[in-house]
Amino acid sequence: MALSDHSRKVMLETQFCRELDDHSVSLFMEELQETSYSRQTMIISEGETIQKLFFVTDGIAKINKISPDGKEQTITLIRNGDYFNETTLVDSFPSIYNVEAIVPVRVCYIPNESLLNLMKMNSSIMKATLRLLSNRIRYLISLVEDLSFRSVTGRVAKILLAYINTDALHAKNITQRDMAAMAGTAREVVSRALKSLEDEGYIEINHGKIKLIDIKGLQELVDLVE
Amino acid sequence: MLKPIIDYSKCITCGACLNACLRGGLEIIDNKLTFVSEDDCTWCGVCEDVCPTGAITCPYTIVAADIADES
Repeated sequence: MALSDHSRKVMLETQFCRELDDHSVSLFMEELQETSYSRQTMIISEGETIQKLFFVTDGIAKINKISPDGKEQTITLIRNGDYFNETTLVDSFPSIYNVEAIVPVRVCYIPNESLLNLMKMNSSIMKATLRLLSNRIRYLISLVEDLSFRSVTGRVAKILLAYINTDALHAKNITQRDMAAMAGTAREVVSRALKSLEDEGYIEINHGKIKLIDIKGLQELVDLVE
Repeated sequence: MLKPIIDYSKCITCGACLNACLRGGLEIIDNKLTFVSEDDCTWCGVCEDVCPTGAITCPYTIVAADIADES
């Protein structure tokens, strides 16, 4: 089935496709299929074996782990152009995480076998796939560092400093949900951390604007190892 | 005054956000979700949390104090 115009457009804008020449993009796009999931659907459950690499083309999904006593650890949020289930690409091991649609989600996917065949034939596709895998490893190492060494407040301070923009007119937008996923915690916890930073005079929050008052102090919080 | 962003192409006027808003700041008027007391909005993000279609977002811009004061 042909991809929708929307999904095709999103896919062409992914870092994966932007690295490829036109011929390689065509080869890759020919193998893609599309499907959608309603809100709160488990797209992948931990332990399940699904031999496909997915790219989100609309909506938001979250990658998480659930502890035996039911505690959730969000690993990341997946939005337009982001990918998941990369861990099963080169082996048939079961998934090591859950992927849940937070809102209605549309995805494109390529069967692992098709992608592995393309990788054998086409070095550009091989390189783009390896980059995709290394990006995820880099992100996970950074998350491990944050979870191991920083308090939630320190993690939120790190996000604020990372998102600071020298040009207020072009500042990037970020929600509490985004911050929670990046900090590996719940949105409510981020909300409390922001309040605490405001109470201690590091930031001022006013209707969608977070003004960083004490950048040096925020950096000290980031550098503080627990 | 900034207010949370509503994507009307995704809003199904289910009313989940109306019940969730701690300040009663949202109403459905003429079958359209509307902020009626945006000045009271605390940007708590609960409406964003409960929206079943991802139609509401409460995004922050993050700026340094000196930049924010200039703009």
